[in-house]
Parts: sequence; structure tokens; C-alpha cells
Amino acid sequence: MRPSSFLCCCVLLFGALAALYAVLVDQWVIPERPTPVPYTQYLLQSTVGVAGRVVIESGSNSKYGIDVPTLVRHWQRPVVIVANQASYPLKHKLFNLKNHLEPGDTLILPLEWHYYVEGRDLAEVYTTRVADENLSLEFYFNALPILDKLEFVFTQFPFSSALSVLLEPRSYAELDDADVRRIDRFLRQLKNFDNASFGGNLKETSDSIDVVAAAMKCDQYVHTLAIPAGKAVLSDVFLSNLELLRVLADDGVSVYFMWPAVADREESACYALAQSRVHIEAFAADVVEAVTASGFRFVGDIEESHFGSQCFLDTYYHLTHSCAVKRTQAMLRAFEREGISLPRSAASQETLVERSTEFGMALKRRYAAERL
Amino acid sequence: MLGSMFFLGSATMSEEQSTVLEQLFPVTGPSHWVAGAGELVSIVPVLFITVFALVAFFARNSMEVSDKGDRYTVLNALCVSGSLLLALLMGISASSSVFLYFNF
Repeated sequence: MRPSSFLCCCVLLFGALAALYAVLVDQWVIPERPTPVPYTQYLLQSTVGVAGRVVIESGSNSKYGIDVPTLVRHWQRPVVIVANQASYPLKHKLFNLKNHLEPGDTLILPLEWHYYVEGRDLAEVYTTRVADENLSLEFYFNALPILDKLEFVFTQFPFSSALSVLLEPRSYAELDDADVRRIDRFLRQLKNFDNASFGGNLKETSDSIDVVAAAMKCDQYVHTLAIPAGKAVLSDVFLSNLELLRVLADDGVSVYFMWPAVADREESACYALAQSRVHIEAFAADVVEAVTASGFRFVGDIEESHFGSQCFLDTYYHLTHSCAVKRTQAMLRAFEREGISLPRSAASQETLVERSTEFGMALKRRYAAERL
Repeated sequence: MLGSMFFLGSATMSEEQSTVLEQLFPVTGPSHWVAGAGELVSIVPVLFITVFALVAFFARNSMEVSDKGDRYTVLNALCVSGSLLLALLMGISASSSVFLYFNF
């Protein structure tokens, strides 16, 4: 083979092998599953079609900082919290939302501070869970458009995770059994019709404090970005996420931003270090400016989402349930002050539960039929 | 170092907390947190080793070339492209950056 032919052959084979790897990851390593592992994702998927949903997305500060029944009583609209870990990338969360939100829905984003500065690097906990034995977060990967899937496979997904699945394939029969047990658990949780049924929390106490939160001052934990390096800068990733949100808004989804809920600890107050306070305020102004310039509204101010040490549950971002109720009331006051009133929906929270229950029952019938 | 800088004067930190902080702050400054930096750093040595391994395996001196002529085959091309892809894939690593560690 001549050198030029050899080079062409190398290029072609490289492309073919890369394509083969991408297909393997897409179809074999991270296949789509009918039943999501997190309850919050089940709530999101199973309530598609319920008119005028209010969907709250962020890291877990929303799970621990918002009381859904309070919102439902005030707005007379079905509400779900779909927030999970803040380590998961916002871009993937938005693509996932894009597949499940409909015109007339409202999206509220009380994003943790780091979402405004996050880069392209993904957390190890995220890349591991996307392809773990339960496929805990496969829905994020499978919600991505093809180019973003390729970006994930070739620049962000560790080869070791793919290799471990290829060398030790999953048992899909076991996954199906686990799905059915999980659906039963989801249906029981729905029946409770409390804050936890809609993605929130009911805890008033915690057995332990997160070790990292225990070791760090609040401003270091919440604003590590601001402390050592001066004022933080909005990341390109966040700016491109704003463009994604613009697509959602153009499709008829109302989008509102809020500050995350934080609670002081007895040993450390939040937004308290003089040096970081200056940076935080300047950075917050940049965030609001960027969000507003993209055509969205920022509701409330930082202090309205800041609570005392009696509200601390287990990290600075987690409030006790009674404080979550207070925070939700403050949130409603902020919406009213801004003149934002969400129109009543024809669907109620009961409609949402009925739809979600039907979805679960249909899934169970499908698993039963596949076993026959 | 950064972790200890945060906690100068704190005498109450447990061993568990110290370990967590050492894991969180393995290097000494914000440059470590620059998006993509870890990825780039991990790719470079792998690519370097791969290229030199390929050269060592396939390279021939002028006598060999004149004696045996050109003997590259599709299998050689497969080895080169496969090795390159493998090196690229093995260079991808998830970040354990401080922003991405927290369990919230």
C-alpha cells in the first residue's frame, strides 16, 4: 500500500471504529429504559400531558427548600419538583426537560450557585451513574441530540465505564424485576399525597451532617468560586444553557429563575464573609443581567432564600421541611411583588397523581406482557 | 493546601473531614478548576506514549525500506487507527473538581 493510501485507510478505519464505539455506547452501554430510577424523573415523565404543570428543576436545594402543597394551594396548578443532585450538568437536565415539557407549562429554576460557573467537565458521580448497573441516569444521555451524544461519548464519558459494561453485561431480566418493584414503591409514594409525593422532602431532622459541609464554612461550600479567585465569571456553558432555555420558552414554556435556598449552620453563617460578600453581590448582578438579557425574569433576592441555623438540615443547601414551607411562602410573595401571576390550570394536583398512577400501572402491564 | 488554608486555626476538624478535604483539594490553586484542564493533562502523556510506541513498532531504516519495499497493509492501518482511538478514549476522565464533588 502506498503511503497516501495507507493514510486514507487509517483515516477511514479511525472513523469506522469511532462510529462503532459510539453505537456500542448508545445501544449497549447506556440503553434507554422504560422506567427511570429516580422518583423525580418518574414524576416528570409520567405527568406529561397534565395541563399547566409547574416544574421545579435545580440541584437538591429545591427538593429540600420548596413545599409543593403550599404552591398548589396558592396557584391552583399541578406542581412537581424534579430536582436531584447539583453535580449533574444543567445542559443535560435541560435537554431532558425539553423532551417532557409542553406549551403552557412553567419551569422554575432555583439553581445552585455553581451552575452559573460550571464548565464542560462532568462530575465523576454523574458519568458513573449514567452507565452503572441500574442505568440510574440513562435518561439524561438518551435525551441528548446526536451531536451532544457524540460530544459526551468522545470527550466526557470515561472509557473505563464503557469497558466495564462491555466486559460484564447487565442482566436485563434483573433490571426488569427491579423496575417493577420500583414502580410499586413510586405508586405507594404517590398515594401519600404529601410534599415527598411530589418530589419534595418531609424531614425535620437529620442523623448526620454532610462531612464536607461540616468541614467548610457556608461561603466556602456554597461559593467556593468566589473566595480564592475574586469575583467569579459566568461560564460559556451557562450562557449556552440560556440559549437552550430560549428554545424552551419559544415553545411556550414560561421560565423563571430564583436564587437557591441556603441555611446557616450554628458554626458558620452564609453570605457572611466580608470578602466574599462583595464578590457575591457583584456576581449576582452579572447573573441577573445575563438572565434578563436572554428574556427571562429573576424572581426574589438572595436574602429571601437565606435562612437561619434553625433551618439547617444536613448541608447548607438543605432546609428542614418547616423552613421549606416558610421559603415557599417567601417565594410566593416574591412572585406577587414582581406582578407574576400564573393562570389557574384546568388540571389539579389530583389529576397529576391520577395520570402518574395510570402511567405506572401501564408500565407494570407492559412488563407482565413481556414476561409471558 | 487550599483546604488547610481555609481551616487555619480550626482545631476541631476530624480525621474524616481532613481526608475529605485532602481529596477535594489535591492541588494548590484555582487553575486546577479550569474546565477541561484535567482532561487535556491526562490525554497528553497517553498520546505521547502511543505515538512513540507506534514509531518504535513500525519504523524501519532506509536499508529495510530499500530491501523489502513498502509493506503496509490494512492490518497496519487498523493497528494505527485503533491505537489512536484507544489512546484518545483512555484520555477521557471525569472530573473530581471541587465544584462537582458536593452531594447536594
